[in-house]
Amino acid sequence: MSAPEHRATEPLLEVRDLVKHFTIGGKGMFARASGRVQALNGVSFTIGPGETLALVGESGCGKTTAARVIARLYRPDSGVVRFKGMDMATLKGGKLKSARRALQMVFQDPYGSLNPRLPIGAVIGEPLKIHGVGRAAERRQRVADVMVQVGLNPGDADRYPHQFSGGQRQRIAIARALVLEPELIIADEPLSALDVSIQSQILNLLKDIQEDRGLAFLFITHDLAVVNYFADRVAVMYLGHIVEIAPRAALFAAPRHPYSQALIDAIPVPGGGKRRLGTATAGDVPNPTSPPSGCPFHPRCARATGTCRETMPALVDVPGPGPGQGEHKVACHHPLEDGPLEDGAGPAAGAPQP
Amino acid sequence: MNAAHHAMTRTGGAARGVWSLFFHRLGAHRLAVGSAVFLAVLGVLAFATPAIEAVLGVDANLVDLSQRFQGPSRAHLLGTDELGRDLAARLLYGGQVSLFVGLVAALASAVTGTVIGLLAGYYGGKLDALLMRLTDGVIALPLLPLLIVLAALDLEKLGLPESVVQDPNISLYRIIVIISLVGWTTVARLVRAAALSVREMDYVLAATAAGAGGPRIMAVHILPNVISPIIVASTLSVGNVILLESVLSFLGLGIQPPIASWGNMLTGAQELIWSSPELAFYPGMLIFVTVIAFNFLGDGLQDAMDPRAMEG
Repeated sequence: MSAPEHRATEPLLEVRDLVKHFTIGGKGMFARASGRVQALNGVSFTIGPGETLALVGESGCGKTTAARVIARLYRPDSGVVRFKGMDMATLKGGKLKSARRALQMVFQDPYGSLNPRLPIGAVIGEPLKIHGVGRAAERRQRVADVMVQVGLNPGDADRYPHQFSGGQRQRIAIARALVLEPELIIADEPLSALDVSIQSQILNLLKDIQEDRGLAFLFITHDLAVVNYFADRVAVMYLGHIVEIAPRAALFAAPRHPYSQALIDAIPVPGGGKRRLGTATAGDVPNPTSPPSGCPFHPRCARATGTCRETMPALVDVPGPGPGQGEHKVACHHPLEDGPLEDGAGPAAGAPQP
Repeated sequence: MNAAHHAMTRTGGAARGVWSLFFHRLGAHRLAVGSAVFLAVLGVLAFATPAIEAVLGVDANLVDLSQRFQGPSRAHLLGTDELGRDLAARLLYGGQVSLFVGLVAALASAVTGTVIGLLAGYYGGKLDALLMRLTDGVIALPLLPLLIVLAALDLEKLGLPESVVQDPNISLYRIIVIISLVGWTTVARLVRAAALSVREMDYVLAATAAGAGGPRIMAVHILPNVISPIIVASTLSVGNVILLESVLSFLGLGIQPPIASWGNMLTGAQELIWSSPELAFYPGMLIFVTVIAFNFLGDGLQDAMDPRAMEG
């Protein structure tokens, strides 16, 4: 069940049973806590060297919290974040600092993630300065190199962030993440604040970086079309839980969790009219301060039964043939079958496995 | 190469752009510009007083009882006071004291307040609670009685060396320290509030994720983004400090004669208000105009530095 053997190689990042709740209100001496947001409720996954894991789910499902806990911007309530063999959740001081060298972040909003008072050369070079890499001249050279790699003009290093467009700013943020040559980049919805026309440029840039450098990515998004282009594996999150994790091809070909199915059905199809509204999920994400009992998805699930209302399903291997045993896991009492859906509406869903 | 060169020229233009925009906005604020000019002239005159004395052949502290209550003349531009001292020179020395006390005490208050506000706003939690209760406490102190007690302290009994206690300017330093001790609260609250909001910005998270520590984040990421309100509040507080110094000196607890200050000149003039009203009028007017000028300048800076206006 608990799968002690993942692969032959040690994963770059291992996240196990991560729990993070936020208290609403009640921070001061005299205030009283009015509720707890259960942002992460036992999240586990691994990322191998050079691998891209996409973390998908609706707004408010805990994706961003997961990213920030892994980067130790927040301290987890419990659970393990093992990065290159070090426990990020408990590291302190100098060790935490050196662990952070190999793990960099790209944020969602390029208007908020760049200090408006610093010229972009200083923004991009800041990680070098923090970690005391090289002399000033060498740092400038490395900043110029990385600016070229992300498609910026190195002559613009003295300009300020407000002089750049959203897409250029996201390139600046990516350059900052690359300058220390990390092994893992956590990209928290790096496209969603950008114009659609710019999104594809930035996505292509990330794809080039992924291919050229063999970097591992934790790619957080709510856009499954992007996932299909970019990810090796996909983890689907719902209300602080991972409900399904699978290789990309397997997930898109045969999603086992009804929620994954609903997300895939919601991808707009070019040409229009093909969207299967019948299986789209009704309603909104429940209030994370009082999540439903049992399976968190049951209030919105067409397949829910009494069991679903009472007990939380465990994340277990999908039975039967499929790509690599132990690779495809689902947390559902009544997972979708391999093959055509029972309503027969999805001809593509039953495509044979390669 | 060509493109890089092109970009460099654009960079120069843009860097000027931010400042020219700032001065343009400030320039549009006529009262602020007028105030800045007035304060600059006053400052130059006040700090050049020894030279002016030499040129005019007067001495601000020279008592000449045969020359009491003289009217304006070539020898004494504004006449003389009750001890026959040159009034113009004494006013300029008083300006020197007022500006010096105002600027130094406002700067010291700003530095103290900024450090306390940054620590409270960035680290939060218990430290924040402690520092803010301290701030509330200082604000709640009845100011004037406290200042009177502080000004009456015998420095020798505090264990200060005699060379310090005997310093002729000791009353000047004492008043700066006293005002700084209670003057930092406004800036501390402002900076804390601003730091609380800046702390949540993604660029602070990005710096944290890159491994930056608290001091670096406060110095590089938070301080430059909260500096405008600090400058505005400090400029406005210079006027308040000058007023406070006048009050204390008027009460005989600030600058001690024979050093001239606008406040203690008023003290000397109060008994003569009917016979020689000009002795009270000149220092009173200078206090009034100087304080108003600092307030106008502060308002102008506030408009010119408004970050929302800067973006546009």
